[in-house]
Amino acid sequence: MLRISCPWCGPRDEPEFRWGGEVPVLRPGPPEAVSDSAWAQYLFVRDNPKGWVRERWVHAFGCRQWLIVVRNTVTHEIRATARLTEPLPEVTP
Amino acid sequence: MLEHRTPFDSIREGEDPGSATIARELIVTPVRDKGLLLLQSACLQALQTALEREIGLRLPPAQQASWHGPYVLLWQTPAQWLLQLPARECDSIGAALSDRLASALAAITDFSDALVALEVGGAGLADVFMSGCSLDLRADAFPPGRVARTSLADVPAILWNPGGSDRIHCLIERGFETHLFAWLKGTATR
Amino acid sequence: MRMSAHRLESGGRIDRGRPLAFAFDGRRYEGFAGDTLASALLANGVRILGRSFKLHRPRGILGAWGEEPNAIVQIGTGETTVPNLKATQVELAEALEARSVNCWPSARSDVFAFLKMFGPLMPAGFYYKTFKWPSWHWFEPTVRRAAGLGVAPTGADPDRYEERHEHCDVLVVGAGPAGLAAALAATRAGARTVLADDRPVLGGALQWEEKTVDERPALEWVGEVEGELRAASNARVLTRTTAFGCYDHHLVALAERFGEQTARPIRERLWHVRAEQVVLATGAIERQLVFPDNDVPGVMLASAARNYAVQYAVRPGRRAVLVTSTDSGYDAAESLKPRGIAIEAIVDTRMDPGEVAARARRAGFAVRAGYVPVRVHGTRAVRAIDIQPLAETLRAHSTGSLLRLECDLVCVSGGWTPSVHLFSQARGQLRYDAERAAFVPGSGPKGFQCAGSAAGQFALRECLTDGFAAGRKAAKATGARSDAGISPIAAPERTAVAPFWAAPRHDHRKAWVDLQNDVTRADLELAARENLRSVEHVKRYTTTGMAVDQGKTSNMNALGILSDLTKTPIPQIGTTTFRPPYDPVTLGTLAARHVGPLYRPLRRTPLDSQHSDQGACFEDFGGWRRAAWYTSHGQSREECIRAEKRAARGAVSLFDGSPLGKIEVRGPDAAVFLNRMYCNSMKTLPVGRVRYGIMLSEHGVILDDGVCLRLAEDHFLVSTTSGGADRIFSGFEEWLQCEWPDLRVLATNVTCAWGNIAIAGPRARELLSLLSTDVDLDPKAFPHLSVRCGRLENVPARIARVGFTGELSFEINVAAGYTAALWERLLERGAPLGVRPIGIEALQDLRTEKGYLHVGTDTDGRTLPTDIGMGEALAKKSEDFVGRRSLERAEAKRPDRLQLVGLSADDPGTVLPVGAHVVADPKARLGSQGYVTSSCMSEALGRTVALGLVQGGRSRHGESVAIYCNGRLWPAHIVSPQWYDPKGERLNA
Repeated sequence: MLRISCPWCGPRDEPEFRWGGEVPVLRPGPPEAVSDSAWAQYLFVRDNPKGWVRERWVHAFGCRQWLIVVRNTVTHEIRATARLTEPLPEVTP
Repeated sequence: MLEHRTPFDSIREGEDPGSATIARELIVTPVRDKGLLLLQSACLQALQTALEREIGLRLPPAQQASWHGPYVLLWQTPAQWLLQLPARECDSIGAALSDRLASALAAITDFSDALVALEVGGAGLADVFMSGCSLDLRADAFPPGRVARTSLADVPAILWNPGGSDRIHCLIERGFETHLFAWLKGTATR
Repeated sequence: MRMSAHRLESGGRIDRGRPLAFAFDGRRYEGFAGDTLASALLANGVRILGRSFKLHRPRGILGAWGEEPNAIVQIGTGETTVPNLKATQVELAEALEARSVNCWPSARSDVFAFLKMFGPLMPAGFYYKTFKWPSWHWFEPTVRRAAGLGVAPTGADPDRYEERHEHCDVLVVGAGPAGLAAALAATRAGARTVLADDRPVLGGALQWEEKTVDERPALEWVGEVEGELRAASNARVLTRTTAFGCYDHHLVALAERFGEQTARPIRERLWHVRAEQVVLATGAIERQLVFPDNDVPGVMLASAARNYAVQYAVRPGRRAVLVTSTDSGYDAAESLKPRGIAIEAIVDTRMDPGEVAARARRAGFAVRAGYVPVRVHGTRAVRAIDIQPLAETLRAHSTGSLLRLECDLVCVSGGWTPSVHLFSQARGQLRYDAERAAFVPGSGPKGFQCAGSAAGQFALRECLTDGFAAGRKAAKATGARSDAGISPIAAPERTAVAPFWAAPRHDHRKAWVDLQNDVTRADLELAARENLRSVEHVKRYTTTGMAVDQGKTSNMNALGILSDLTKTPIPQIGTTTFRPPYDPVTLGTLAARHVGPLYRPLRRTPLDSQHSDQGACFEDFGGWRRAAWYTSHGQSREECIRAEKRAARGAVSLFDGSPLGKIEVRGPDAAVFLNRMYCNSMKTLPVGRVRYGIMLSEHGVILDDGVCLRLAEDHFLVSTTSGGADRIFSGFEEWLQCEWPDLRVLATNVTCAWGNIAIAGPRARELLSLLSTDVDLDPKAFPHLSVRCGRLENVPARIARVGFTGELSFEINVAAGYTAALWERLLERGAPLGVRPIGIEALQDLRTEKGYLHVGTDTDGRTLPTDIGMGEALAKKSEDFVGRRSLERAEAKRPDRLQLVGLSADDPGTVLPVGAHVVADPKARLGSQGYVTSSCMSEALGRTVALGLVQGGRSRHGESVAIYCNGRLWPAHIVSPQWYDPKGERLNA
């Protein structure tokens, strides 16, 4: 069970959070200018790397803020967490 | 005028948490006659000024509570605080704050009926709460003035330490009180 | 009490003043407090405790704790029974009832024993190869009975279980010498320390090894350390507590048992320990030696024999032969001999054991170095063992220099396997140490240390210093600064071992590797011959290392044998993956208090006690305890629901809608935001008006529906479905925080702040006007789909003309605290009008006949707004909204999509079953074209009504179809879903 350091509330157990997928994912628009493949890319295609990945999680049972988590998909190690307003941490998978 | 009722009024014989002592080591006291206002503002300076003028309280930082007289401010989220105040002042202070914040992006919501507040005290407090909450709630890890939004017995809960080493105030959404009472009673019978 | 012949006259850490009566396989015995079930049975001369898994060979006790593969028992009866416990770990208690498993009627006389004659016919993979045709399921019940373990409890467990979260600086697992030293150092250094051990007493092997620490008996030292730890405010000592799993980020799960005593407040407790530093002092487990007939009752680990003799004062035999490949095996001889157990010989498989053998010879022991066991005589008990010089054994069927040693106990010592389970679970790397012939911890995850014999330090001296150093280091890493003092010390020992994975194959006698799963060396040979190379595959094919003991005494031998067979070095073979749990954990412990009413929190509405008073039958709807219907004296459920429906259609009804989600959306951009959240337009909604809206996922699929009320230019109230409030509010937060942080919007979930009562029926306005209010109820001033904020009975109220029944209706929101009084007043004032509370059941039928869909019932995970007739509303909207682009896909525009329709059974009395399919070919009953989603008897229409999702259904109104379910067919027609009042005259009244 992960222990995630919420930038607002401090370290909390994983069940207090909900996972929100990889970031960044840019929502394309306006809809009439978006091709089917670009929309499918946005909906379904993710890097899913082996190694370091940036994700967004929400502290649902706490401050209800979304945050950035830099997590290793192999070891589950968490290297950093950040607020959405902070610059997105760099990763090299 | 309609009669105003709290969940404590409708708790039936035999499942009454207000019989004060749930078990030898744990005392549960419903917090009555308190009003709650949820303060949301994107403009913290405006909210700060309004609060200082109305009740003389500063906004506490993350994970903290501040209090002054009958007023308690609990940090909730980066732009949200919960103000606990005497029930009879709820409407007037709510309206006064709304007026002061009229030009800011702010919202004052009466939460008096939305949450149920309990004071839980006694020597077994941390042991009992830590059987349903993953936070470290022992006195040295959860000192006076600390606020945590977390989950207690699978229910979203706001916990805060009003001072001293053996009391925690707990606010949960109205409707979950029966579940929490049943859980507390069962946990505390050791 | 007469001392049993197998119990020593004195000694042992049993309480001879507290005899305990117990039963095993129906026979009565007596033991003492401090015994385990195994030691008490041994003391009573019981040698056969179980039957082997496949072949039902008699099996005795091999080990003395969690490593035991044979003595699997079932404890207790009925609801509280626990299957598959190891007798070696069961603490004896008064009136304890235990039974052997996998045999009938008892271990001593088992009707399935004939199976052992078929041994040669049941090699590895036997079940896979044999019971293939026609299907494994034909054979499974019989095979399970013949080859199974214990039985499940017969009813709900009445015992209490708990859980506990704990945070500490240093968690020490294992309270043997290394663990005690580690806990001592960490505690003295000032770290908040938790020490957990799975045994009832601290000390680990010091309980029976008769050693010296700091120049005094080791147990004295154990007592002092325990006293110091229990007195320290920063230490917690947990006995009978098994650390069974290491999870991410230093979470260690412990299972604490409260013994089998009758008056226990709770039975077991699950600990979630989040430790900054973890010291694993989990010890090591002695290995079985693989030689022919090594499963006969009376073959026992040397450490176990010693444990029984010293700690429990039990003689596991009278005449023992010690077979060893280690120096440490000799220690057993020294403990057994003075307790009246004759040591017939020490058989050392090593050619030149060196000093340890010389010393033993000087002490008067007969040492046979370079000999190996080739046969054990006896089937139900050891009678003798044949040994032979290794060189002779290598010549198949040679009887040269065969030596027969009479004995009733064979003690075996095949070396020590460090218990690295938890370390490995925490993703620690293992390293094969050839000198120790074992996998030892290699590079570890941050914050984990192994200490003592878990780290391959098998001598007491190293255990103590290693443990103490680990404890001190762990404490220091957490910032503890006090002086830990100096490490306890002990005398040096010899711990050499020469790996002896299996006696050479000599004849056709079976040599057992995994006793619990009846895996022999021949099975491993077969697996190798059949070219199974991965150790994981070999494990699954042969079942070696599976089940209750997870191969604690056998895995290393299996790897060694596999290495020999495949000519692959052990490090390249590697180990199978260690997974939690280390030792079995009961489901009760894992469930803890999440059972019965506490299984999940159920919310109550502000009207809960009013519903109770009115005889409500409650059900869980989306996490809320809600009234399904209200019982009426002498009336059936159906009659009650029909009466409720009649009240709503003919008079007036009250419905508790408090669980409806209520989200306030405020700010200058509120309209822009909601316009993006709903697929239909909300920007154009006038103040004071209400609009039905649908929210989509980005995939275009319907997520939720409900009404949106505009209270002011910059203030909306969003009403969600009852179970949807949290989900939709979370979605709002996500869009506002992650995608559109620029929008000046504040969203507030006020669901529990307000109660909601829906007044519906032709007399709804009449009822409402009996209460005092400043809201003009006239239909011209207050038309359908509008909202008014005012006062009702002198409390603030939001009243909206919306409903889910299709009748004239008002939804009244008042503060949760006023809801109960308002409900009572409405019932009281409305009595002359025929008012009646209605539950979910009636409401579902009312909305079905009106053709109102219920998201999740009449829509599924593919339903788009165009499928339910929202196409026109969408066409009018030009702005983007969540899910919009997905509605432009070709798939979204297919004419044969499943669309919402009414389904009218040709027989008006037939209630079409929900889930029944519309079939394309009624004769063949094939080709689903959709299915029934809602169906009921309509009280108002005097016939049945149904809704369904049907391919291209919106353009097929009037078409005749066949509906199929469970072998039955019904003729029906596709119709408009608006069965009742299609023009909406009633709700606009």
